[in-house]
Amino acid sequence: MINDNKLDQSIFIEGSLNNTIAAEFQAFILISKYLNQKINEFKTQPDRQMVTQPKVHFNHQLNWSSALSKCVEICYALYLLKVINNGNATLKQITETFGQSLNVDLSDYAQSMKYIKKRKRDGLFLTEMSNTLFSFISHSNQ
Amino acid sequence: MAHSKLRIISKIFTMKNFASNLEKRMIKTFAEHEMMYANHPFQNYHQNTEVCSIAIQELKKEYNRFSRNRTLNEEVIFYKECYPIIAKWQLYFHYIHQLEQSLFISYLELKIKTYKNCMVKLNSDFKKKNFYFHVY
Repeated sequence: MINDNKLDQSIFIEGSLNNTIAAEFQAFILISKYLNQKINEFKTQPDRQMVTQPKVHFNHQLNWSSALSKCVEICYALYLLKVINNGNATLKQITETFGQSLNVDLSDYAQSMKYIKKRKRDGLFLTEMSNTLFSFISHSNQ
Repeated sequence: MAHSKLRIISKIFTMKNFASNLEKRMIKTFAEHEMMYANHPFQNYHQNTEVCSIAIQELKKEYNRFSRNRTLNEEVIFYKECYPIIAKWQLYFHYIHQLEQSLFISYLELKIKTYKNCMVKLNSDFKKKNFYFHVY
């Protein structure tokens, strides 16, 4: 349209409503570039947020202060019960989330599980947990 | 005849030169504003829009000074080649200012959705020859 000399006089004259048409056309290109740039920026941002945000939120709030194997037990139990993301969450995702939120390194969860398996059933942390909870409930009912 | 043609060409050249110099000055000011209002983006866009409207006034003043007895051809060249250099920035910053203000409290997904919607609407408006910039 800009190079069409025949239409120039009818389009680009003072007082005409069309006198900003070239400016609008060029502004359109600038705005498109801006919007594309923003969309591309945001496309990469969620990954960064996933990594950085939990650290900011959880690092100094809650710390796991017992044995690592006990935390691994909870992660395994949640994974096997399929109670997170309708059972679609992987064991790695669960351990990573727990590790980040409770400031504990659970990367070696498989090795921890080997030790847990060697223990007797009564020695499980989850049994201890359920016993404690039952006793609390029974005491509060009395 | 030849002299008057030369005069017109020189006048047009000066006008274009003035517009491009003005744009360079504006871009420099935009960079300064970006540093100055690094934590206040809305203020930055608003100030830039103001700078652009002042620049347009300056350009028109210069244009009137150069061509008191202007021809239609000169007028066409002004609106076709000089005016857009400055006015595009005003439209651009005005649009961004409105858009960013409307998205101020939005969460990330909504922002992406709005940017994409804006792109689609702009494209469809230009296809329909609706040359107006609305923030959706």
